[in-house]
Amino acid sequence: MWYGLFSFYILSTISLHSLACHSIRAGTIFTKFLIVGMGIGAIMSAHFFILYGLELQLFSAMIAFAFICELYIFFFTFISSSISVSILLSISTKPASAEDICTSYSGKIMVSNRLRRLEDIGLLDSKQNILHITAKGQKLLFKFNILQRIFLLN
Amino acid sequence: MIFLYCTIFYIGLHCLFYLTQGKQILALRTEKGVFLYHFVSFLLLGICTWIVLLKSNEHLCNYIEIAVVGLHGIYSLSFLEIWSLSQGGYSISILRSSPIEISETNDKLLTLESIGNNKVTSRIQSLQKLDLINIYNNLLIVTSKGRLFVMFSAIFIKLTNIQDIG
Repeated sequence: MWYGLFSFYILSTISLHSLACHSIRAGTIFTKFLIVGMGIGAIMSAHFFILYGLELQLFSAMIAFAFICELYIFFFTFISSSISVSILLSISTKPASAEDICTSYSGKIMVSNRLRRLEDIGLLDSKQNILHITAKGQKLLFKFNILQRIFLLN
Repeated sequence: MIFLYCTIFYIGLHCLFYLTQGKQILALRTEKGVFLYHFVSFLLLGICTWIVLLKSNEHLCNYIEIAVVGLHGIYSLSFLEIWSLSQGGYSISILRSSPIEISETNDKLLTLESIGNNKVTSRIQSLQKLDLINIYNNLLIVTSKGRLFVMFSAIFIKLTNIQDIG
């Protein structure tokens, strides 16, 4: 019963997220997953609470659900931002020489792609052909500096 | 519930050890080192909990094992993601270079482009080292191990409708 219900909620989350990614344009893949995951996670917790009460079955379902969701987020963010995955996918359809790959993934294209992406998510702002870091970007850099200090890399 | 409290205590110690002693142990400052530090701990905790549960008369042992492994999994994934973020990336280098004037001769842009060029070369070398690609007749081809990885990635790309990779 527990395993069946748990699998049902995990599969529902993945299916609903996939449906949202294919049918809703607004928002990033990540925000869509947060909305779907939190919604189904809350429904699952309520359902397990009704079935088992405040017992181990409820806690283990919540922990396992959070773990699988985090793993899923890790995979899709890794695949969407990885240059290695992009190279692998391109070679898998058509073998190419290292020079060809270096040409099609030139620094120029990579920089322009990344700048566009940073602008899209509001970390950079373009004004008169000059890109400025936004307040959101500065906050991110500040957090990043704290992280570097925690891990003592500087 | 005692198993869950013990797991939280163990995770706290594991994290504290890295934050206080990690800087002195060089192996723990590399990507491979920090991954192994978590992976070995994850495996050991899972196995030890299983052994303890087998010897006890606990009737909810499956749920305890799931919760213990899940807790460590959440902690390790979060830790590794934060750790890799703290190593800095291409986006961070770009943000640090701001303001950037978009012109062909801008030094900042040229520096970022050279970082990008080096990245592609190093990625091709890493893919070869991992045996995901091979060179045949001067062409890069995907190995059978690489094909599995491509199939795995394709599932996620289809499911999440990723349009722009890299």
